[in-house]
Amino acid sequence: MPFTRRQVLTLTGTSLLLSIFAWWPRREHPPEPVSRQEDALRAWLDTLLPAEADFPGAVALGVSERIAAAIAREPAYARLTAAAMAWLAARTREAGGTTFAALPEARRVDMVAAAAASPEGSTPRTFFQATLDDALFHVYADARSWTGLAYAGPPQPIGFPDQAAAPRSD
Amino acid sequence: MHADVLIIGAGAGGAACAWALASRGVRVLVLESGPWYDPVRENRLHLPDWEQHAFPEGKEYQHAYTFAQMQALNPQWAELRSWNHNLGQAAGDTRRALKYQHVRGVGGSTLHFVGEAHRLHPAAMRMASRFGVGADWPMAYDELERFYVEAEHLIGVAGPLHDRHRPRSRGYPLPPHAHSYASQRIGSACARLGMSWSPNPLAILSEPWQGRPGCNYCGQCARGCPRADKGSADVTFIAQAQASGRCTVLARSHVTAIVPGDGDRVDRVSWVDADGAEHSLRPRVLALACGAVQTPRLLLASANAHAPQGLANESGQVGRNFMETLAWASSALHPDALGSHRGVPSDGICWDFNAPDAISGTPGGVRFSVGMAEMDLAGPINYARRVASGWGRAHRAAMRNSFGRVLSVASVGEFLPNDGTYIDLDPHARDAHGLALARIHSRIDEPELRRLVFMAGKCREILQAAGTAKPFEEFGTYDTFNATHVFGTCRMGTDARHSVVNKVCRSHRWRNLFIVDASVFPSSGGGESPSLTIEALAIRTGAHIRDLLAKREL
Repeated sequence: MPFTRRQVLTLTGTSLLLSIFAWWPRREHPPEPVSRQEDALRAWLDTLLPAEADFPGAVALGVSERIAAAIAREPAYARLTAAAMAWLAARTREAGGTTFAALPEARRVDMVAAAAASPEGSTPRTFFQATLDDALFHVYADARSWTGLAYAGPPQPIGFPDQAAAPRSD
Repeated sequence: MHADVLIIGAGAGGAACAWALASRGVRVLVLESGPWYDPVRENRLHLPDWEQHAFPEGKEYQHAYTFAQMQALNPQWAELRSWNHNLGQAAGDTRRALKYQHVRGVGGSTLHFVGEAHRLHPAAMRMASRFGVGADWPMAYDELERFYVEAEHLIGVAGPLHDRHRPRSRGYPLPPHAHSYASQRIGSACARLGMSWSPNPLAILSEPWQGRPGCNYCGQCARGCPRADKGSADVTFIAQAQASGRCTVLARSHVTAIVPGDGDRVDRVSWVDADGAEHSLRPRVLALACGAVQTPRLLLASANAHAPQGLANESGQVGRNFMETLAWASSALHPDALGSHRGVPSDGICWDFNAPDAISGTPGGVRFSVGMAEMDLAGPINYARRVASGWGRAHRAAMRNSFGRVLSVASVGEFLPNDGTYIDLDPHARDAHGLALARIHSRIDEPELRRLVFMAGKCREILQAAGTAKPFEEFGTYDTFNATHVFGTCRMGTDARHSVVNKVCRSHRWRNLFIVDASVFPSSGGGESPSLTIEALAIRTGAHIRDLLAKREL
């Protein structure tokens, strides 16, 4: 695997300080309470990878706990998250909302899209890339996410003895 | 602890040499700095999170080493940059030092190899005399042939009936694997382009063999085989050497000193065991088998008054002529569901351009093969991160529409030695025992870049002929050092001024010192995987050592 989340963080780390200054909200606000940040992170992840008929969604698959653990382990990730949460809170207020988690799904989708479209190296873009990559890493390590993919894994102990034939359609 | 021969390193070379000696009545002690691989404890292929874990994990399975400054990249070769449609370019303005892919452990890098069991093209052993580049092997293919046969039969290689480029005195012991459904598509594409596509000779059992089961096509050889159907050195050569009762393997035994004597013999080898206890032994015969990075490191770090430039380095050639992996892979989505995560990683191969003169104007051959599993594009996580784009519901839809549809074509080619690619000792970095670390210097020159352009072009052509969309990812070694096959650094030759060992892999200067790994290769070959040639050479050297011992010449 040529690229990893850690590499994304490393590559963007040099521009992180500048980007935090560029995207930090101009008005001073008290930091988000921890529980509100946790709610925002969960809502963010469920907007990134929402539940569907054949897919439980990122939060139901335990991704928020895993990413929270990574944030607790890695100071750079924690700094990035704090800056991104401040950005998210400011955008929420600008949109007339109180918390990101309380916004309707369509508004949350707009905000994630805005983060994804932000300049390369900016806080929201970096946070978007890092959390999406992390979420995918954890979501697809759970067999509940494989429904509908025509994937009869894990590779062992059965293997794929039908390998020479056309795959069966589900 | 008595042994006639002390071998350092239990990878392909050390294991095959140990078996050759033990099966011929010689007592052998093998020191391996890494651990035994325990598939029951360590293999995760039966768990949903299998893809989250590289193999092998943990520092105990890796040697420490460093990289020297990498070369700047030239816009002239922009078409050779590595990129992914989701993740962008892999490297910046200078070449990226990713990894020397190896495994430290009993079995060595065969623990993670994908089982390719190739013989060298005979002409690739004559690069200097026939093509005016590189160096010749001090032996002909014919001299190695019977040792290839011996290795193939011990391992249980599955291969095709015919190979018009590599004469055989005996067929493969097992029939070839059937091409996977995806490999059949690549084969059809090759046929449309007038290229051949044949079963790749593999050290993976197509049928049960000597108590080991046949393969079940999980495709994850590179993450370690939990079933032992892959012929890694631990379950083949080492297992049979131990069964002889004449081979002892000491894992987690870290060599701390090799001491050249005042005559023409290596005097002493010291090591530290897993409990930290120090040991020392005066070897009657010493065979080094630590690979093309660690073997020169040990030799250079063994300098003393009797070997001031390092052990066996009278020619100054130890560490020189390093040849790394020249590789390319293009990956694209096919419109049909192919189930392309299934099958052995590299079941099909095209040898059409493998001869050193096959590419006009660029001496050195290449080969093309199936690449999905080798590019780690055979599980949901890598599809989610590298294949499917977007986020939210669009990403999930992309997963549904892409999983099992990736085709990858990979190519490996000749790497000619140059004066900027070598191994030396890092003056600023040492291991826990005070030994200087190996430092990798790497430079890719224009002949390799021209070869890479050819390789990339053909990979793209094959994918297009297979009916795929445009590639979503390409990965090559122009902008990234990522070497799985490494060669040279203790070249074998007839002239002691320009080589390190002679044609039986014995030091020109030190009569009880032999080298039995890919560091003795004078040339890399045109994309052949080296393990079978390492094993054949090591068996040949083991047989020679046994004869010398019998004649009391050692």
